[in-house]
Amino acid sequence: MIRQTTNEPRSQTSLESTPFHRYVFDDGTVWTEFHRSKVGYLLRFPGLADFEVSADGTEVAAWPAEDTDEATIEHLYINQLVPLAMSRQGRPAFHASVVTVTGGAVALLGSAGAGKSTLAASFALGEAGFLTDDALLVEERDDGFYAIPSHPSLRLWADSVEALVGEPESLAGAICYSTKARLLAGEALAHDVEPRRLLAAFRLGGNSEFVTIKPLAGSDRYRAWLDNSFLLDIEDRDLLAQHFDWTHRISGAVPTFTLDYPRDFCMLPEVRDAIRRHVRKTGS
Amino acid sequence: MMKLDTPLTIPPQVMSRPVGDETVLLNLESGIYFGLDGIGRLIWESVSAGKTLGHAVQTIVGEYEVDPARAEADVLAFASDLVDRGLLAET
Repeated sequence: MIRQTTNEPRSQTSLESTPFHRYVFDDGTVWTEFHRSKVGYLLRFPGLADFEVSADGTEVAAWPAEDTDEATIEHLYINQLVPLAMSRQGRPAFHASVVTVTGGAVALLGSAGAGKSTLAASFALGEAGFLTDDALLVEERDDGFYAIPSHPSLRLWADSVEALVGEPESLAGAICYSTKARLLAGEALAHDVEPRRLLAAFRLGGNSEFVTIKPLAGSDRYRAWLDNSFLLDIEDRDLLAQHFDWTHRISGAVPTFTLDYPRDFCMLPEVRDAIRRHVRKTGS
Repeated sequence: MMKLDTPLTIPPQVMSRPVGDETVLLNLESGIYFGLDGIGRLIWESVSAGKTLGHAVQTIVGEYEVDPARAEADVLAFASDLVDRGLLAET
């Protein structure tokens, strides 16, 4: 569990410490700086907010930057701070959307822009539901790994909203660093609130002419999970060792595949069918 | 200079786990992960079992039907690379 508090906005003055880790976009933009602080960690999202995380990952305090709204803080908290803080508690967390299929759930692994949310929305607007949009928390049980439901919202670009939903009835507050719309689950967009056993995972690949699914084995399979991990403290040996074991167990237990498909909204039903067929066929 | 009977150990900061037909290594000091397959995995298994690189060469010659001199050169080069990366230590 995590105790969250939000403080009054404050300006982001320069920090004395040097970050021990950074998340940087391909264009060089810094998304997150990881600093050590007196209480544990200070995570700076430049221009958006600072978050202080206790050393054990059980407490998160937000300091919005002066122009940052509540919806942005909520979004950062749910999709970044919760998985990172949980990783500090020794709970594995991965960049993935999760959707319901017969008998369990399927994880769609991928970094930002891979198409996770669009594909998850297409499942959730049909006969299935989604458990999480962007941050997969898992729980290990006797019969396998279970995906834990997260916040009932999905973030989509405008073209995805228009193609999939048309005029959405339920929109959450916009977030100030992205033009993506946040769709709230409702009658049309089904959110699954039950933990579901992970039957398979698909690492979303690139745009291709056909829907192609290939199994991943060995270290490639391991890396599919590792590359999509949240890890708050990459310098903590115990945490690294624990995460190494978690990744080993989940990649060994959950059949994992690459999924390439045409980035064409009309093809999404075919992609969904291919995923379902594949899960059935492999007996996952 | 490394030889086939040079004693090697796995440093305490290195973890390894089998993944399918491969072995994944993590150097806790650098946080860098490595994947070993084929000959690399055989070398790793030999060292893990407390055996020499000479044992790894014998296994490779038996399994892959390669020239012993070639196998010896490959094993020594690979083991040296693992030492350079901090994944094995000479004792």
